[in-house]
Order: sequence, then C-alpha cells, then structure tokens
Amino acid sequence: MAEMTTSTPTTSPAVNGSAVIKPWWSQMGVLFWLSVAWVVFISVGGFIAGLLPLEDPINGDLDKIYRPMFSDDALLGTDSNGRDLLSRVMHGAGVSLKLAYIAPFFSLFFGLCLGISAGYFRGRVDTIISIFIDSILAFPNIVAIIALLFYLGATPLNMILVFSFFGIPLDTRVARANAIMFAERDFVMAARAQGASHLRIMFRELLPNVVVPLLSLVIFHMAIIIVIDGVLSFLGVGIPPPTPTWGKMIADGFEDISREPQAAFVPSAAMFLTILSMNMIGDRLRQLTDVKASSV
Amino acid sequence: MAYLRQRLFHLIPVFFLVTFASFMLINLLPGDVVDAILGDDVDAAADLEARAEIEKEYGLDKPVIIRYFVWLGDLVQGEMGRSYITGKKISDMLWDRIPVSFQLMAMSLTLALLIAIPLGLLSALKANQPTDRLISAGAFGVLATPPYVSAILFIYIFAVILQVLPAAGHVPLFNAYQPLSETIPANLQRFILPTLVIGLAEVPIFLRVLRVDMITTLQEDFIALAKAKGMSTSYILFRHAMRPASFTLITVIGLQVGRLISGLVIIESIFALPGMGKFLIDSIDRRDVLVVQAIVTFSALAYVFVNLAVDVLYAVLDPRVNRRAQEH
Repeated sequence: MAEMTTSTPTTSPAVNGSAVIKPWWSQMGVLFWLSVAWVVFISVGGFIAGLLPLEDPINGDLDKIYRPMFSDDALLGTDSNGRDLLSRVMHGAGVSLKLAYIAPFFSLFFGLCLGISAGYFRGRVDTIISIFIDSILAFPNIVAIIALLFYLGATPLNMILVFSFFGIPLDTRVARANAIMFAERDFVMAARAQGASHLRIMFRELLPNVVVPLLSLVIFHMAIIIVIDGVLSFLGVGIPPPTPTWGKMIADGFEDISREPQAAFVPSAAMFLTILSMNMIGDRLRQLTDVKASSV
Repeated sequence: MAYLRQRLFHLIPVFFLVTFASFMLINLLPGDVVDAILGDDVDAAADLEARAEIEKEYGLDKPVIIRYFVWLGDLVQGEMGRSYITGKKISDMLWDRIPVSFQLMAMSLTLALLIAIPLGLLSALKANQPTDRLISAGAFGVLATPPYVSAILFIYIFAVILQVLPAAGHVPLFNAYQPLSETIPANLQRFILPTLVIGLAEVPIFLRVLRVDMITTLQEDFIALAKAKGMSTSYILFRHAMRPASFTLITVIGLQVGRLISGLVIIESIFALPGMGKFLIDSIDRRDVLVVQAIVTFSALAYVFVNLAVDVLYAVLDPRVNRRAQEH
C-alpha cells in the first residue's frame, strides 16, 4: 500500500556491482538521511516535549490568540485559545508516535507466526489462515477501527491492540510469500534431511530470512498508524481532549480556517513530513532487502 | 469454472466469519447488552417491560450461536431491526444514505482512473527517465498526504481564497421543489471537492500497479512482434498492452473498495455529505449501537461481494485464470 516506486533493477545503484562498492550509508542518498533526521527530530522532540522549554500545550494564554507564524512570542503562531502551536505539535507528536512505534511490532509478531506457518505447511493450514486474513481484510479498516474503539473505549492500550490487529493481514501476506520462496531452498531441504523439527526449521531457517523484508513493512505501518490515529482524533473518536493530538489540532484549526489557516496547516505539515519521511525510509529499506520485488 | 468454484469455497467461510465477527461486536460493550441497546434512554432502561421486550426481540435468553443464526437470517432478508435511538428501521436509514456514498465512490474511482491510466502508461513508456521520476515523486507526495489534510487544503484554496466552490453541503438529486435541471448542477458542484480528495488519494495505488504491469507486458514477445510489424506506439499500448494489464487493475479496484469506504467516513464528515460514513460518525455520537453494528456489517459485506463480482469478471475476461486453477 504505502510503497511506491518499484524500481526496476537498472535504477537501484545499491545492488548492481559497480567497481567501487560504496559504504551502505552513502548508498542511501541525501533524501534518506534527511528523512531519518526529521523522524529522529520529531520523535525525540515528542517524547521529551515535557522537558523542553515550551509553552503550556493545554492551557493557552488568552491574551495572545491568533498570533501568526514567526511572531516574537510564538514561533509557529497560536490557535484560537492562545495555545502555542509549536508546543502542541511537539506534545502531539509524542502521543501519536508512541502508538506508531509500538503497534507495528505486535502486527509483525503475529504476521510472522501466521505467515511462516502458512507458507511452510501450505495445504489446510494455509487455507485456514488465508480465510482468517481475508475476513479481517473485508472490514474497511477505518470503519472497523472506529467501531471497535467505540465498543471497547478509546484508551491508548485499546488503540494499540486494534491498530496491531488490522496490521496483521499485510505482514502475514508478505511473510507467507517469502516463506514459500525460502521453503524450497536447499538449506531448508538440508535441515530437513538432518531431521530438524518443523518448529526448528521455521524458527532457525525461515524466520531470519523472512523477517528482513518485513522490516520495511513495519515502517510503512508506522506511517499508516499516524494517518489513522489522525483520523480518529480528527473525528473526535480517538484519544479525548485535552491531550493534544495532530488530528484534533487539524480539526480545531479547520473550524477557523478562514481566519487563521496556520492552526490547521502547521500540524498538517508536521504530519505530512513525518509520513513522507517514513515512506521514504521504508522504501529505501525495501530496495535494499528486496531480492525479487515480484515474488511479494 | 474451476477458478470460480475455488473462490466460492473460499468466500463462504469468509462470509460466515465476517458476519459472526460483526454480530459479536455488540457483545464487546461493557455491561448488559440491553443497556447498550437502549443507550442513554434512562427511562426505558429502568422499565422492566421495555427490557423484557428487547430480551424477547433479540432472543437474549438463547445461546449466542442461535442468536447469530436468527440475526443472520434477518440480515439476509434485509431486516436489520430498529434503532432504539431514532425508532426508525435501520435498513431504511441505510438505504437513504447509500446512494450518496455510492455516487461519491463512483465519481472518485472514475477520476482516479482517468488520471492514473494515462500517467501510468506514460511512466511505463518512459520508465526510469525524468518524466517517470517526476510522476513517481508526485505520487510519493500524494501518498504522504492524509485525506483530511488534502480536504482542508482544497477547501482553503477553492472555498476560502478563490471562493469558487461551496465548502460543504449536499443537494439531493430528487426533491419536490426543484426540477432536475437545477438540482443536478448544484449536486455535482458539491461533489467536486470530495471527489477530488478521494480520487487523488487513489491515483498513486493504481498508477503503481499499472506502471509495473505495463513495464512487464511491454517486454513480452507479442509486443516486440507488434513493433516489428510496424504498428504505432499508441495502437500497441491500447490494443495489445492494455488488455492484459487491465486484469490486475480490475483486481486492485476490487481490493480498493475497503479503502474507499474508509475514505468516505472522513470525507463525508468534513464535507457534510449525508452518506454512510457520516452516518457512522453520527450514530457513534448518538451511541446508537445497533446502527453502528449494521454499518460495519454492511460495509464488510459490500467488500466481500464486490470482490466476488471482480472474481467472476476476471474469470470471464481472462481465460488463463481457469486454466491456471485447473492445474493446481
């Protein structure tokens, strides 16, 4: 879903054996490192926002409402309640990114278990797992996530569980495709000839090979979770106010869009840059780890 | 029709699992199901008669599995019960809203294809040249823009700054006071921005599939033969390469239905279009648990049936599919 440019072999300078092999960090390109820098900046800033010398993100100063960007007392301006936008963007980053950094690993764990089992055993196990996966996929994810959180309550823990659950299908499919490919390789055959158990083969032979291409998927999932978390707060069904979230900031700014567009566009820009950077990082990692894009 | 038989055998358990999961949703609520169904209606919640009536209507004294099949039986007949908040039949409420959502989806999908097909062909023809890189970079940017962000951007540009389009609202096609000649333009005008938002968000996905597919197809022998015979590039593209490439596109369109429905929830809320997505959010605000359940069920079933239709279409259009299925 999130991956964009499937480069044909001729474009990826990383793989094709030119005479001089550049170190891996120089192969990645400037854009990759800019993306990493942004993600590190916004994550670290978000997680330690409470320690930084920022204005109060929740209780605004009503004397300074609607400050434009680059004002003396507010770098990115203030909103209709006089709350500092820079402070709110940083605090909001901490909230969304916490979810985005945890949930994909749960999906990865279950995706690996299901995908490797399906790809290794095939037959009936494969059928049952694919029925399960197709059933999850049948629920439009935002509809299902909103409804589930409505019934369960939108606590951060429930959000992590629900986000992880809807990430499972994609991880499973990619893990399955890779497991099928590797299960036919000689080293698996050799392990089997030595009398290795199924569990050992899956764990020691398949897992290390299958997990690598899935790491880029983890990063794509992070980007997707930021979007979905934003949808939930935007629609008022996510983490309840006054906790600042990007989605809620965009929604609040939207109400005042004709008067003060930056209240909506500052958090939008932060979100856009974060998603763009994550997609960029994921895409580069995929190019590095992808042996054959077509087999996925 | 070996392929279709395979797909059907697969879809039947999916159908039961999907409906069962939707049915169980309401049991996730903390506390008593009767309280949940009654919502904030305190008077009714205290009224033992009303409670007994609900228990009887939903057969809450019976085991879950029997309740499920009773519910499923009703569902298949288009009977989804009544909302305890508004008192109306849920199926009627849904049918009022589906046309709006359907119009939005159809228009967005058309727009997405109108943009993605030419760009995809161009990308494939100029693979790895500056044109292709530029298109890919643009798609990358669109992909990183969440629909609510692009919606706000478009509203700001077209409704606030340029003031050429309405920011939100809906004009039904049929009403008693205005002739169609007035309602059609008004209706379409209010669909322009939402269509743009959802349609553009779909472009990168179709574009990518089409580009990869086209690049592969263009390397096939029959394309080389067509070229050798001296046919023009456009003839080769549309008559020879488009047909095999369109099969993947059809499958992807089917798989995108879920994403489109998800998009409706946000976009209809922003643009105040009274479709299914807006209905979901309104029902959540009202804590109308049965309606929320009905919308989830309906949207999942829509996905299942659209993909069944895609499978049928696929098997009819592409004879290779059946041959492949028989070999397995």
